[in-house]
Amino acid sequence: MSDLHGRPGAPDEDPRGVDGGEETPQRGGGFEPDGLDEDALRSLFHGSVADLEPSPDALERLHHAVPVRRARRRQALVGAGALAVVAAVGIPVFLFGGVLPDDDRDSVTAHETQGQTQGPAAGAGESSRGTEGSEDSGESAGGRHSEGQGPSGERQDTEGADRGADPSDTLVGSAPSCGREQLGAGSGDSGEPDEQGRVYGSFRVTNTSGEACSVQGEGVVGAAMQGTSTRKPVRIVDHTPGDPAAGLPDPASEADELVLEPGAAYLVRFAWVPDSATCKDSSAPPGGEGPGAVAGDGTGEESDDEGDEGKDDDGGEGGSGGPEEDPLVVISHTPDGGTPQAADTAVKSSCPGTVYRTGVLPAG
Amino acid sequence: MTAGTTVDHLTETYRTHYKSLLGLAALLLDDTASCEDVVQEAFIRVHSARKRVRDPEKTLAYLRQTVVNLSRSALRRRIIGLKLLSKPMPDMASAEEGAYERLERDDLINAMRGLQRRQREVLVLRYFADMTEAQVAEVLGLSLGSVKAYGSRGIAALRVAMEAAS
Repeated sequence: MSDLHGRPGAPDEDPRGVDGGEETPQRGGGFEPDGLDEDALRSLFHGSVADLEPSPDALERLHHAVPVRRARRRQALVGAGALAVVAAVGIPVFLFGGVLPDDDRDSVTAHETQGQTQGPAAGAGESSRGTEGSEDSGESAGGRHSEGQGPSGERQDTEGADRGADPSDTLVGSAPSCGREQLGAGSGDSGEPDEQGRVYGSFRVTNTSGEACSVQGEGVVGAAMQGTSTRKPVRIVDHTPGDPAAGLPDPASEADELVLEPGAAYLVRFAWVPDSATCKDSSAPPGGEGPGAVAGDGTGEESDDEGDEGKDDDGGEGGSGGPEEDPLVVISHTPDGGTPQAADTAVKSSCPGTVYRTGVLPAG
Repeated sequence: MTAGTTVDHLTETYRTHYKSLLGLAALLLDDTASCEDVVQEAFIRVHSARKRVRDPEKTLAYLRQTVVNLSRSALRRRIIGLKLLSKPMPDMASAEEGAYERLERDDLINAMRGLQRRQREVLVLRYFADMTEAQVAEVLGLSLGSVKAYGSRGIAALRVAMEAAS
């Protein structure tokens, strides 16, 4: 115990000196240790690591690596910053699946979570995001609960992003940042499912002000499943080349900054990709699902969209509003800057799945 | 257009905080060889997210938070694995190597490795990073009471461990 007062570190010393302090380790109670005051502990800590020096090329490596990572981030464009802002102002983002943005987390966590929550269908995007871990979410200063996170841990990541975000943060742009009040006339569209059940859609948001402004973030894409009492995972990830949402534009083509003249609009495109590997299994048990979902899944033996079709039919009979309504995945978009939500659109599906999203794209 | 600004900020942050963050990582990690990797990764993450570096006063907080997060084993393994795959680290100069070797033999470092992760984090943030208990609670996502409890138990455990080592 006596050594706690001295620098234990001299490597070759044999710190045998014992001061005879026999105090029993304290449990709980005061933080202040007897016989080991704060100053002693501070000097011990600082002494132990005092010799550590950066490697000679540490700064050089950072100067190289930061731009490279930024470029990668551009490709895996995400709106964590936006999410953080949204969360900060208390918008009820109803994601029970995953969210994702990880731009700034952080977080160590956000990215990490993203990686964990991405299903097999996530494809190529997973590796690049995983390395940033959560930088945005957690990361970086993001997620603080980085361990043992399941899908349910994602809100914690959001929390981390929230803490890390500063609503006043903006990028330096050639035009003032678009205030939330400048963005409006939102609309959302989604198409018909293709043979694999994939549905493409987009959100359109217009600069309704009289001034040009710069869209600073990608905003938040949220998703919620409705019409089924069984919550199924809906992941939201950024589109990356090689993922199943092949119909979305290459993220590399996205501009770093998008300036909207008055009346101009941006698009956020997305693809809903049902998880065919788990859809049948997860929805097969009747559980609490409405008859529509059960029937649909029962007929959909081979693919997700078959199941959807079945539900479709039954849903027509059952009407809407009750537990038997058509299972829908409602996908929404909230611009950077926060509430209110700009638009949403619904995709018929009772399957767990993934929403792949782009960043903000100029509307043609 | 922001690159120049950011690089300057990067250099400035590096000069101001890099060494202390190396120490933070060394006290949190089980393997000192990963210290520099963790700190490098933290810098890269924080500085590649431009929104994070707009407020220099918050940069240190972001960096510390990231180091803490990265120091947790699962994430670190991931980083290290990626590093090995993509960007081998240059050999450390002998001087640095010597410092890390000495660290490996440091009684305090070894005693710290016997502590529970939370205890260790609390002690390091509190007494190395000089954070208040409230700040530690914030960084670790713990209640103030938990921070106090981990702190007192951590110190007790540290005493025992140091005593055993002597």
